[in-house]
This record gives sequence, C-alpha cells and structure tokens, in this order.
Amino acid sequence: MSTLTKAPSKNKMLLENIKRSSNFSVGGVIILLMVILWVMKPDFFSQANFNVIAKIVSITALVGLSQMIILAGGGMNVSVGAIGGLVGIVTGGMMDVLGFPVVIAIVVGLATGMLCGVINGLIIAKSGSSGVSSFLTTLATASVFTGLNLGITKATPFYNLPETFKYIGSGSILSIPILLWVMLIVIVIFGMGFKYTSLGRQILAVGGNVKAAELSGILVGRITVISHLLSGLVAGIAAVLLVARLGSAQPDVGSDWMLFSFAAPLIGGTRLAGGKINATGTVLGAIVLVLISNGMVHLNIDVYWMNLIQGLIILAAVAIDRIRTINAERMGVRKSEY
Amino acid sequence: MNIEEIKMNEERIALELKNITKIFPGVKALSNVSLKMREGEVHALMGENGAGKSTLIRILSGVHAQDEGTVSVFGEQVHFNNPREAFFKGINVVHQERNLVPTFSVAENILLEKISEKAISLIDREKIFQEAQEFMNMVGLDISPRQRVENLSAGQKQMIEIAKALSSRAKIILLDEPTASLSLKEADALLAIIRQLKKQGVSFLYVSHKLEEVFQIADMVTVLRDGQNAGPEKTIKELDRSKLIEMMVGRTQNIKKLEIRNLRKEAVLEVNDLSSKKSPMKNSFKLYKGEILGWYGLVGAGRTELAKALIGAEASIAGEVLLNGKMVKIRSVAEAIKKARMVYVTENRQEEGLFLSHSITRNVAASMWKKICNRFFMLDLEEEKKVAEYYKQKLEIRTPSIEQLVANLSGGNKQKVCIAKGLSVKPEILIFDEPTVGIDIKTKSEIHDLISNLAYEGISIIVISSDMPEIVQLVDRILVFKNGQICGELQNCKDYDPMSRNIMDHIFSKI
Repeated sequence: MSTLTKAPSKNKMLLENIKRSSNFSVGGVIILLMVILWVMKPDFFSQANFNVIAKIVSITALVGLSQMIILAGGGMNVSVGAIGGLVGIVTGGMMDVLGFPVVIAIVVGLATGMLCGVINGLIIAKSGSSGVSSFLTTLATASVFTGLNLGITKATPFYNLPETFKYIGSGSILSIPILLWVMLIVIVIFGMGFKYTSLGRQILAVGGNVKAAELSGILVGRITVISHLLSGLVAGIAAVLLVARLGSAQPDVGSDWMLFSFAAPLIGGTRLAGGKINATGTVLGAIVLVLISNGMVHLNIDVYWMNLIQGLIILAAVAIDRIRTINAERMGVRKSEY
Repeated sequence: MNIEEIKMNEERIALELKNITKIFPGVKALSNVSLKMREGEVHALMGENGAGKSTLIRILSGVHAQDEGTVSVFGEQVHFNNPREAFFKGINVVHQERNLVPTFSVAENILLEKISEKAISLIDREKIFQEAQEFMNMVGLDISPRQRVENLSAGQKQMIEIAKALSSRAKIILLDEPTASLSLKEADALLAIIRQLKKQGVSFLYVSHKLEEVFQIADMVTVLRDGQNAGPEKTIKELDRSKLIEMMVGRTQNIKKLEIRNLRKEAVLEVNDLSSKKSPMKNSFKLYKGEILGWYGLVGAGRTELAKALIGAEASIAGEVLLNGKMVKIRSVAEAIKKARMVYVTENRQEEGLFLSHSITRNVAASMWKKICNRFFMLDLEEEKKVAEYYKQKLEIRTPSIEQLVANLSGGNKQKVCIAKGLSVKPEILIFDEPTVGIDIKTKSEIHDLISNLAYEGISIIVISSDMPEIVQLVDRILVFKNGQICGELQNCKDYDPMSRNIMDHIFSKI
C-alpha cells in the first residue's frame, strides 16, 4: 500500500481505493439484500435466523475457498463437490459403521480429501499444469470420487453419528456458531497464507504466468500438487461441517457445490484467469449467495426454478470478473502515463 | 523475356511505398522508407535483424498501419485496416511461420479463404478438390489434394502456402524467409516456380538472409538499415556479395568503445555436446570468469533453445555441463539457480518473463521467496521491499512506486524489472536473451553499461543478440550460430567494420 503514502493527496487516494475495491461494492450489495430481506421478513435480524444463515455461509465460504485456492494458481477444480461427498461419507462411515472416535474419523476424512487433491494435482502436473488440463482432469476424477462414494454407500446415508460430533454443527461459542468460528479461522489462515508465505506467493505467480514462474525457478508441478492438496483439505473441512450440521452423512453431500464454489470467489474479486485472489471477498461472495437463496425461499419461489437462478448468478459473476479485468486494463493505460 | 514484356514491366508499378514511417512506443521502427516494385519483378528486401523488414511486411499485410507515408497498389493509393483488406487488394503474405490448419486436407487449406467466405453454405468437396488441383499444378505439387497437411514435409507445406496465395488471385506475394526450413532441392524447386509465376505477371517481395538465393532470383534489391533505406534501390547486377553486405551492415558512428579483453583463463562453465529435443544439434562451449560471451546468429538459429536446455527449462537429452570443473545435473530452472547460480533473462518479457498483473516488488522477488522466509514459512516482507527498492534505484526503474503493477510500465522498465528479478538471486552466470530488443536508445545504453559493470564485478555473462552493433560493442568473444549449431568462434576486436564482416562471412559461408 505504499502507493498511498507516496501519492500527493493521501486521504483522497485512500477513499478512491476503498471505493474501487471489490469488497466495498460487494458489501453494498449485501446491505441492500439484508434490507430487502428485513422488509420481507421482520424477524430477519433475530439470533435464530442469524445462526441459520451464519452456518450456511460458513460452509459456502469454505467451498468457495477450496475453489479459490485453485483459481489462484490459474486452474479449475470441478471435483470440489465430489471430494466433499467422499469425505462426508468416509467420516460418517468411520463413526457409524466402524465405531471410530470422532477425532480419528475427522482426521481420516480430511486425509481422504487431501489424498483426492494430491491425485488431482499429480495428474494435472503431469499433463502440463494448464487450465484446460485441470478442468478435464477434475471433471474425470469427480466422476471417480462420486462413483466410489455411491459404490460404498449404495446411496444410503449414515444416520448414527455421535452427539459430540453433531455438537460441532449445532453448538455455539460466545453465541457464535462453532461452524462460523471454524470458517473464520480457516479463511484467516489461508488469507494470510496467500499474503505472507512463500507458498502463497508461488501459487499466485503460477496463476499469473506459468512460463514466467517456471523461468523464475518455481517448481510449477510441485506447486500444482500442493495447491490441489490444500483445495482437497478445505473441501473436506466443508464436508465435515456440513455432515455435522445435518446430523447425518448423506451421499449427496457436495452434489450442488460446483456452481457456488465458482460464484463465491468470483463475486468476491478473485480473478477467473488466475494470479489474483481475495479471501475476504470469498466470504462476502458466499454471504451474497446465501442471502439470495434465502430470499428466494421467503418469496416462495418454486425449488425447480433454483437451478435457473443459480445459473444466472454464475453468469453475472463471470460478467463481473470480465468487467473488473477490463477496468483494471483501462486503469493500466492511465497509470502508465507516469 | 521479350522487349514488349520489359516495356510493360516498366510501365506498370505493382507496389509503391513512399516515405513510410512507423513509430512504436519508444522506438522508431521505420523512418521515411520508400520502395518501388514493378509488375512481374522479384524484389529482394534485405537488411539485418531489426532493420525494419518485418515491420514493413506487417504494414503491407495490414497488421500495422503506418504513421506516415503512402502505399499504392497498381497506382491506387490504399490503406489497410486489417489483414483481410490487404488480402482483397491482392496482396498475400507467405509467412515464416506457417499459417496452415494441420488437420485439414491440402485442398481445404488452399481454398480456406474461399470456404470461410460465406458462413452458411454447403461445401462441395469434389469441386474443392478439383479447384485446388488447378493451383497445385501451378506450383508443381504432386500429391493428392485429399491428403492431410500435418503429414507433409516443410517444402510441401511451403508450396501449399504459395498455392494458397495464388488461389486468391494475388498479384503481389510477400515471401518472408520462404526457404528457411527447406532443403536445397526444395528451395531450388521453389525458385523455379517463382520464375514461372513472374512471367505470368505476379510480383514478389522477397525477404531472405540467404545471399546466394537473392543473387539467383532477385531483379531489384532494396536494403534497409536501422529502419531507413540504406541507399537507393539497386538492380542485382550492380551488386556483388561484399557490396550487399556492406550496405546491410553499414557504418555505425559514435559507439562508445570498451576495452578489448581476453579472459580465457578460468572456465566457469564448460558445456560438452549438450542437446535437447528443441535443440537437437550437439553443442559445446566454454564460458570464462568475468567475460561477456556473445551468441550471434539470425533469428531462429537455435540460440534460445540451447540456453533453455542449459538452464533446465527444456530437458536435455545428451551432453554434460561442468561448473568450475565439476559435473552438475540441471533438471529445472530451480536447480540452475540453486546449484549453478545461473539465471536466464528471457527475450520474451511479456509472455515468459513477467507477472504483468502483479506489482514490481512481487516480480523482482519471485526467484527469492524460498530464501527469504523464516521457519514458519512466513516471508520477510521488509527484506522483499528492500530488495525491490534497491534494484529500483540501481537499475533506475522509472516508476512512482515499487507497488506499481508491472503491466503499467514501459518496455524498457519492464526489461529492467526482468533483469532485477534475475539479479535478486545473486547469480554467478547470467544469460541475457536479446536484452535490448524493442527498447529505446537511452535504456539500451543503460542496460549495456549494466551488463559490462556486472562482468567487471566477476559475473560471467552470455548475451544472446541478433543486433550486430550490440554484439560488437559489448562482448569479449563471439560464438556464431547457424541452423542450431555453433559454427564459429571469434575474439572480438571491437572494431565494427572488420568484425561485422567476419561474422557475416561465417553466417553466409556455404558449409
């Protein structure tokens, strides 16, 4: 931010920058949505409603984060939901069928998510770490993971989960749901990670320009594997939280994640082409998505129209991404007159 | 040719350029260039790398628009906004890089423009094959029009390009290095076809680095030097080899002369029979401590490919690399930096040198992140800033702040950021690939000063350059590259005339 300190009129520039930031505009959208929902439903700001929304936002934000990690490196991961489904089933099955303690079930579940990510990463790295190869690879592995999931469960859920595990989904600390705490901690860790660690920088560099990253001595293949491992881990965390919230491990966990996973980071200012992320924005994006679907419920919109509306939201997110990119390029022209 | 034909040729000017000037940001690529080509003439356009030939061709083919001057085709003044307009005025370019669709048949490629003319129309395949056959006969292509292009030889592909040009009834064909990838036999066949088409009134603008060919085929010669006409056009009979080379090379004035150094004592790097997939010829050379070694060659002579094999960006398939006498295996750029302290500064800044959407700081630090983080993997952001600030000062990167996005910098400053990124790892061997291409004169001399200072500090440097004055002025020793192989080694006497002649002789020698 040293641009600010050196610029002639500090306050004006600061204001300009805040106005220009995507968090500012997305925040505005959130406030607008909240006002609309409040008008429709006067008890919108009740503690009970807050808890419901906060829990859904937590999971949606983590799903978005899982995708954001891959978008940062210039790839795509369409297997986020499939990994989530598999992790949910493994965790639930460990406790219900095999009777393992909660902690071990969670650890094994998350390890499954990371393993899925490593498999994705290795295949993509071998096929050149390009955006296209990441799309096709994860499209294929998504089918493999889902197949494993349904093969193991025969599509029947695991209901007998320990109360301690379910408490993760229902309990609160300082009257804030545990789910929200977990999400905030994970988001902060990854947000800081991208800003302050060598690994985060290297992922962004690969997303910014693969060839330049390679010629700068960054091991592109290794970075691809690690970022998919992390993506799998975060998808796994989201799945564990979702299973805890629902109180049962449904095989269809994650089946509706794909669109959200792209929409949340894109709305929040992460660039589709890679190299630029916004972790806070991903949370804000998730809030927008959840408020919209919440609003649709209150408006009694038929469930069958949901697909259509979700599709439109994604298209809007892609359009916003384009507009931001073009604006950034325009600004570039202006700035280069220095 | 009978007298009548000659008369007709004299009367009809196929193409006339008057006072063409083209300015790119920071560089005047062409300045007042004029050229006159008669109908049915083969007009050679000669000049060193960077003399402005490519820019001129791009203007003629509608890729760029000139800033000043006029282009006339058969007496009619024209202005092209895009390649399509040039195409419909009967100007057709046969590029150095092929513009064929490999998965299409020969016939479909030849008639591609025609097929794509109407978006919705049924394609009568039989008719296409017949029609294509006609043009294939004209260029003497003896293959089936149904064959897929990807399996053909370079020569056959070249002929398809020419057939394609003919199919559009092109009256003017621009040939950019048409024989660069052809065998001798194929090249002869091509020249024969040009001679034949010439009689039918087709005019050729012929760009080639092969002097023998030019003397065989050309009627007239226009030479460009530093973006200007190097003297009036000449008929080929007025010229001989040495006169032509002299026109191309010229005399450059006011070059700061660096001392002549002979540093062949302590070999830092010794490369034996190195080859890779993209650089299949085995090459050997030595690099001495503190020396600047120049790699000269025409564009495409295989210098970048060898450099990339050396730094591990392309996997090497044979050969050994000795560093201070010890064998090292370099399998990735990361290893080149770590094991050999060897850094490559690319010629292709935009595409493989920089992270355009990131700040200067992040670009400069990209190669050193692994080194400046503590045991909790957290980066030392102060150090990162300090390094970026240091190189901003040292290389005089002109920017209001090191947080500026690199996309917003000028070409020269972008190059400085690229160099800073390389220097940030404290290299002992530096490879500069075309360090000053597309860069304004002031920054160019700054970069030259920087390179010679680095060499005085004891860093061993390879400068890959297609810029003759740069090579002669800057380096201590020269390796000449031709067709992927080192074909000569010269001690640089830093005297422009004899040196440039000597280098050119190596390149144009037939063996």
